[in-house]
Amino acid sequence: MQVDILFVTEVIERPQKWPLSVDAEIGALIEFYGLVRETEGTQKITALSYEAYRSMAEKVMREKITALEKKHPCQAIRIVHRLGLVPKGESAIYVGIQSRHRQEGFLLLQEFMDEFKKDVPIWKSTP
Amino acid sequence: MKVLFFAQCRQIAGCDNYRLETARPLSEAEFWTLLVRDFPGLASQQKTARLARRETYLQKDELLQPDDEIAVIPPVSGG
Repeated sequence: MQVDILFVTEVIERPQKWPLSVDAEIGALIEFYGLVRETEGTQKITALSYEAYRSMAEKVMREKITALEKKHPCQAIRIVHRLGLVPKGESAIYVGIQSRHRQEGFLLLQEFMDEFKKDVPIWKSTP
Repeated sequence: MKVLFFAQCRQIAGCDNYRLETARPLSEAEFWTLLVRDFPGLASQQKTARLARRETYLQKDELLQPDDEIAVIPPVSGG
């Protein structure tokens, strides 16, 4: 599976070039944007600030994908995480997955995000 | 060994890294004892923070070597 991981400090733009990998059998493109909500706990916020242990975060993500793709084989995944200040309503994370059928793509996305939330060393805070 | 701090651990420590002097391998418990000796405020993080050795979460009973890079990882919250 092709894996692209990016960290950015600007607005996350939707990738313009799909497919990530040329495969005539790709039948699904699943995209997820994680947005900053207006409330954090009980506090009203205007933005969140994100920081990462970047090298380890990428390593952990790649390990997670390697493990998960054995269960849910997909063709490509692109992950973009924004760092620094992210205003409410804007995306902190984007995940795009290409797969032959929708089921494995949805399952990979769901399980990847669950694992991401547990172990990938990225932190948010209120500025 | 080089110790890296992130998020609230960095704020408590007041720096993003420091060198912990040790001539022998340390258990996780020994590491925390020395860390809290040097940064008493980090005692509050001991129960929730995890350690990563060379960018991999520490396994149970794994020792920390004097030339390792150790990251103190408070609960993550990305995405």
